[in-house]
Amino acid sequence: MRFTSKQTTIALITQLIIFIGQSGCANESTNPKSESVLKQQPEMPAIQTPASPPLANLSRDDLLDLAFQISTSIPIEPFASDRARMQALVSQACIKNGSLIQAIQYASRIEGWRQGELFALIGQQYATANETQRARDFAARAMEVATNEIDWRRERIVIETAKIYLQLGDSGKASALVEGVTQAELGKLETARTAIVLQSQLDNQADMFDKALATKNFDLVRGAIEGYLVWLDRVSEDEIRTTRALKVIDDALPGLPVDLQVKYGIDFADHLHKNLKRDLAILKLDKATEIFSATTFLPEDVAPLGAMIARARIRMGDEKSARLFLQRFYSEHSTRREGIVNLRRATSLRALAEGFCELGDRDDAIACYTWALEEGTINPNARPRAEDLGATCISMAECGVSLTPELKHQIDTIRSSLTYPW
Amino acid sequence: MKTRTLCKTVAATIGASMISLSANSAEILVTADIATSTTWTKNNTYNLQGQRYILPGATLTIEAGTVVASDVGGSLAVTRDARIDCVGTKLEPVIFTSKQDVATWTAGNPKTGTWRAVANEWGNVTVMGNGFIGKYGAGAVTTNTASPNSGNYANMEGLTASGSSDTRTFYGGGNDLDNSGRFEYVSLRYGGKVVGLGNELNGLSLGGIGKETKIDHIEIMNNVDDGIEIWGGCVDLKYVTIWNIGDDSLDVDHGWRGKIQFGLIVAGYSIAGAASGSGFCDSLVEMDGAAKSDAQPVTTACFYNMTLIGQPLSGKAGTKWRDNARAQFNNCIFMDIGKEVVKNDNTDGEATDGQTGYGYNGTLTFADTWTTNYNVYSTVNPYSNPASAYTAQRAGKLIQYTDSVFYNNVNSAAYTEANARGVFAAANNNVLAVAGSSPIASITRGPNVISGTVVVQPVISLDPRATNAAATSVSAPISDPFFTTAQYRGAFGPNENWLCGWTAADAFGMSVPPPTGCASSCPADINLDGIVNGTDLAGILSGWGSSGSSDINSDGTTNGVDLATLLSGWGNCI
Repeated sequence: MRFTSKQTTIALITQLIIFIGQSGCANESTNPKSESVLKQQPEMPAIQTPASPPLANLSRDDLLDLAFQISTSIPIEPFASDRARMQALVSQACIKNGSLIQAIQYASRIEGWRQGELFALIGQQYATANETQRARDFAARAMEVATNEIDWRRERIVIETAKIYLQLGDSGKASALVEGVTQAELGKLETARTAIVLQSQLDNQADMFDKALATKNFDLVRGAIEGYLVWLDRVSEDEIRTTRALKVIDDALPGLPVDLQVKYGIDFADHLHKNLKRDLAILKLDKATEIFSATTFLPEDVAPLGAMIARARIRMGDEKSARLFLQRFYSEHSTRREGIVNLRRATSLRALAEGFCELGDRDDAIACYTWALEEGTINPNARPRAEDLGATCISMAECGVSLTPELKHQIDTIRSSLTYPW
Repeated sequence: MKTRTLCKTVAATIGASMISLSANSAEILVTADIATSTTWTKNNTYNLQGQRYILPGATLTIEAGTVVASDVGGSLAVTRDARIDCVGTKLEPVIFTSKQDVATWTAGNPKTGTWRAVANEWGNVTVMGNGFIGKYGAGAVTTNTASPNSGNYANMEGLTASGSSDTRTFYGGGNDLDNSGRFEYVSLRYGGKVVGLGNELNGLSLGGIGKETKIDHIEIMNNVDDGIEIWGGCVDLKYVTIWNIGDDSLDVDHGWRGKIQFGLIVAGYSIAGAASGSGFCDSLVEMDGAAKSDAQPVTTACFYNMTLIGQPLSGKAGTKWRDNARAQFNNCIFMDIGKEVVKNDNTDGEATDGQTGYGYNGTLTFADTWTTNYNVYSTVNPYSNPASAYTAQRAGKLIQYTDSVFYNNVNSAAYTEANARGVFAAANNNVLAVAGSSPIASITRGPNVISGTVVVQPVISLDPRATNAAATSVSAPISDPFFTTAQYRGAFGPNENWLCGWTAADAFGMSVPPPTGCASSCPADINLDGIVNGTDLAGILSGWGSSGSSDINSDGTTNGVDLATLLSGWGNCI
């Protein structure tokens, strides 16, 4: 579905007066056992969410379409990169949702290197679905964009395109494509290769990652850690190899910036959990939490990182502590926000909302989104407001949260204000 | 627009050409901070009234050809999370200057004017971002840490906060990829209004600027304090010209980790009768590692294709090193330096507890820094992954001078430190040019000017094109997307003078255009590698629709006309 005309836009907004239902959302249902404590916080906006179920269903695709329209309304000059980045986020969200046609439509309208990268990402989806010809078509489209790009922008496209050929079993073509690409980018391809190589080739992959780690080059180290996480999935039945991976990752993580130690610590826990090593996964998550707690982050980084940990706890089955974690950060936002420049405040609330969504705490999620939308109206310039609104729409779509009339009204109001000055 | 602007007068000048201030141009007084995005257009002139800030979320767009001519005290600062989109062109640069300068222009034509021995006629432009900074210790914010920390920040030199909750003057953060906008083809003249002792304004101040910020084709002409000063962050600069600066021409501090290619520095004086540091040049390049020698990030930079021209009689050092700074000078020209070409300045005004210089608290000694590979990182207050932060250097030693020409540096101590550090070892491919073999096409100095206790030999005419030993270099810049392939030494190739068209030096008649005129003899050779080929084509396609180097005819946009020019010029440049 494409909404390009003004009339269609108005029609879409009209439909949004009622709730958005969630087709296929993993966490769309409300959690009857969880009682929102957020409304008890005196500094926070009053929660006006009705307890009633959604009045009607709108697809998350519609919300993403709204996000795309918002991002497209950002003037190209002088905001070309901001606009394209925002548009690409929408297209990526569509890919994540499995709405490939929508993703393609959006990608086709994006200017610059991001279009090529998106075509490659779409091609990867087709390759995964064994739609070989379509995958090849998108590889070709991606490389067509790449021919007009130079330096790292071209390399980004080339790497993602090479992954298509890897998935299609054409390893030689993938390798030929990346000839001359900088080492820093090659780690991404090797990570993808690790997921599919024969068991007999896995040790070669690990040896390659060890060499990358030894360089202590930041990009190579990141690539190697990501590679080893995938390697861990492949060798989970093999105790000796698993031990090797655990040691390497444990040794490598302290060499990263602290925020990345937390992020990769969470990834580490997720991979272990996926491979039925729950106790070890919880240990790794505890370690990431410990690093997070011991570090003084910027006010704007606290809630997003905290929400990442909380969501990992949910995946491990510890909903209780996750909920407490999220509620704590929500209650602290009213004081922490004073230290955050106004155009960055909504990011924290979106992160918390996504955590509540994952818990199924619908009312709390909506309270966070309500506040996020409010925070996103403070800056007097339309560009940061548009970026905030678009990001919130994407977040709501991904979470599958139900739109209330109040949220809808807020969105409409903000959207109508997206005019000069940008 | 919330910015309070008042149309005060109609400009009296009548333009004779399209680049002149038109008869209808109004003077806009900028009397308040810019909270909402605003465009300044070339049909007006803008007069900054006091220190004005662009506030977070706002973007100030300044059209090509716009003149910002201010009174004493007028200054512009871009706060963290704000943007400036100031993109001039070779034909229509953006000019920040004083009203007195404009008064010297013929019929309001900014491509005219007369050089004057003055500065301090207005303030400056300051840009502040969210990149990491190494500001710790004496004078730093007390919550800052010696190790890299996204919470470290500093108050910008020369700006005064209105109270403890005023964050407009802060720079620094945790995002080295921060974007403060674009600043291209901009000429800044006669600035540096001093607001307090030791608290002067540089021509262009860059604090914590991230890599997404684009800065190129920048001119500083006559400033009372430093020409350009960079604190922390990792912004890269290209095509920079700094003339007649009253203190250090280029000053980098507090953990700047960037690159510069194509830089011209001409030492001189900006105020008649002034002493060194307040109107007569100090060092051409001064480098401080961090506010405290063992704090991180520490300045770690890479320069290619710099032409540094000093003051032969009374000038100071060419390159001055402090506090564990690291930088590489490759494919450069060092000439007419008044004192040491390389100076280990083991003192620092910021020091209070013996923290100055090299070798402090486990850092490398000055001598060791010259022999230590670029990818050996300090273990004192370190980054958890230093390679992620120190990306400017990709090979060689932490300090090195390679593939460069040294000419007419006649002070008895000119090469003392350089010799001690092995600068002229054969492996470095440096050339000590003999008298009469100047590495640049021509330089003309005017009559000596006695300025206080110093003798100034002002450069009144310069043809900076590479010649003799500078015409070719052993190596081109290392493979790095930022660096343009340039197989010569110094900031100018043998056939080009990129000062043409947009600088005060050109307008004042101080820059000699090449024999073929101001236009490049090979305009489609975007990357200046001597050949028009697929790389240039890629540059055109990459820059399609925007201005910049791909905009061959400098009409403000890269389009089919530029593509046609490129195709018609395909092949080797003649």
